Amino acid sequence: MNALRMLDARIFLIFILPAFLFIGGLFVYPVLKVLAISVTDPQPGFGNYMLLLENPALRRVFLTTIRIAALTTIISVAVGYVLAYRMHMAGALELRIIVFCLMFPLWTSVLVRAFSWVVLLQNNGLVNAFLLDIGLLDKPAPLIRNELGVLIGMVHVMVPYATLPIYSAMRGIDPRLNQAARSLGATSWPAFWRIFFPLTLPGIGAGMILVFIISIGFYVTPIVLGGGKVVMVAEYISVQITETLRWGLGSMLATTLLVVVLLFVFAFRKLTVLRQGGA
Amino acid sequence: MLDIVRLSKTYGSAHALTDVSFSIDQGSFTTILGPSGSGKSTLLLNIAGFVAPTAGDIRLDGRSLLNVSAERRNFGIVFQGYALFPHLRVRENIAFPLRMRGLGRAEIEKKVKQALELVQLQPYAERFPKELSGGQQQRVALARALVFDPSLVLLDEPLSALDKALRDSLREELRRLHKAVGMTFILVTHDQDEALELSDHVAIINNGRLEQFSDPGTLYNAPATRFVAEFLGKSNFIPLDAASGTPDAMVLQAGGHRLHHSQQAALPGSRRMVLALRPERIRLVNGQLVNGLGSNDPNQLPGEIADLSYRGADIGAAVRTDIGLLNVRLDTGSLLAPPRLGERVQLSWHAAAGFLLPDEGAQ
Repeated sequence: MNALRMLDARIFLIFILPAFLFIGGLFVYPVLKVLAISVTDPQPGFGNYMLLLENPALRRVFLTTIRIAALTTIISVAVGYVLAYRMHMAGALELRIIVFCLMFPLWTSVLVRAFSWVVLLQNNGLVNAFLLDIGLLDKPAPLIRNELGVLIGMVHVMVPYATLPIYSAMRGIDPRLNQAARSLGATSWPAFWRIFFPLTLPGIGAGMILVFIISIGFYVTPIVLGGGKVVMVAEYISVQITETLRWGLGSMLATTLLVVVLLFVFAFRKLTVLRQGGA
Repeated sequence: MLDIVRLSKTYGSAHALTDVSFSIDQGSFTTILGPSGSGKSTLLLNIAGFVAPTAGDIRLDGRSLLNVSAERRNFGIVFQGYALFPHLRVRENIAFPLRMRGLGRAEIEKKVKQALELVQLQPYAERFPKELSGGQQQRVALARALVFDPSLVLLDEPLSALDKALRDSLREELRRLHKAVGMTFILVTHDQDEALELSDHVAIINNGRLEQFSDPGTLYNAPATRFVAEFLGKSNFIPLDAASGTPDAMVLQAGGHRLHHSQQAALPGSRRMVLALRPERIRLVNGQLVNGLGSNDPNQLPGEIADLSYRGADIGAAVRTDIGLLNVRLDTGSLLAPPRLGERVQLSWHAAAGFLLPDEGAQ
């Protein structure tokens, strides 16, 4: 009888085996193989990782990446919060319009999106032409081929990723809490800052992790809008793999990127759990 | 003193409240009672200041509240589901209204401590709301609504989320608190027992209109409308063919029987009337009919037991008679023999046992 039950339990394992083999064999194993190159090529050891400390160019690429990802995260979450709040207050029709506008960049090809920004932001583009016309500028402002351009392009596509978790957190707040705060004597600002805002922090945290993780690996947008002047890690890795053939270095950067992302996920999870009062 | 003056609220073409007026005395316990969708919650939202009435006025000590925002009305509200701030500790939840009023740290601490004592939750000050049971959360909500000495306390279905045993003990607690703090309490509920047990006055709301505003005894013994007679406790409604005589000696015709009736309260003005009769006001004699028992009652009616339902201390019997099926509550202690289905019995009641109501049609 007991043996039969044990057998039963093991039979169920067979059902998940195909998925396990598929993910394990075709994703986890190859990724680990690639990451392993960072300690085997060109010679076994941590030489590649030492480069991170020794090579100023590498450090600069990393710092640029983290700075741009962090700025993108902050701006996207700030814009996303305002949008989410508007969605939270909106009627059905307005909500639908906002959601459509929000999702639209996600349905557009990344190349189309990036080159559209080039058209808009270049020296004789729409934005500069307008600013020159109304006399705000006397010569075109450099809006692309620099970090500003990269930021604009990245924030544009990251805003939905920031907005939706925040909106979802707002939706989860009992609307009576606001009434309760008011009945207890809180005018709109204290009611917002002491009650509503703290309760949206988990949503902000989730939005920040999501945007940061995606931002740190951006590839096409920085190439097009940075115009070769703003090099982020993903592009740098690609160059190591396809052009200079320093696979060990590329693999080391990929590993480092992965570790940074995992650290952030871990840190933010801790933070949001604490904020919710120890779960 | 809170005056609700001809208050109406419409949402588009829907009438949530129509011409509701009543006055609540300082320090009293008043219940707004009605079935769900009756408009009682709309009335509460109006008093609280979250909703503005379409017409009418709400006055506190003679001063209109319509231009006073919810946060300035100084009313303590216990919300349905309590609406405790989940990210704040019990102590911080209770301190919130005091902080909003800019009180000093020492004074806040003192008042929070007193409020925690009042609801007997001192050991739970550092807990978060979700670490408390439903009954404890409810007491935190009460403490938070009382701590800033509000002009009145509004309680929106405060007991509906709790199980029966807890509800009963918290009812006691509410009575005790009301006596202890001496503030004006307004309770909104759909629970008749709660209303009868707790209140000095009950406002019964149905379809957005005030059916009756009175003390529980009057509501039960002299309901003004058929709705009130039906909603508060159970009643038999006997349709009448004719009525004649003076109020203290009336003769009614129903199902071929002459019924005697007298009424202290004003008679309804309408021509069509029903006689409402509480199940516990009807005497039932079964077994061998003993001489004398119930024979002084002017109204005598033979019948046959059609249904019996046991409820412990009493038994509900449905008795088929010439004037319809009557529900009778039998006190098991005073029965001569256990009632049986199909048994012939004698019903009787006193002339003042029932009350005449306008016949608005059954609910």
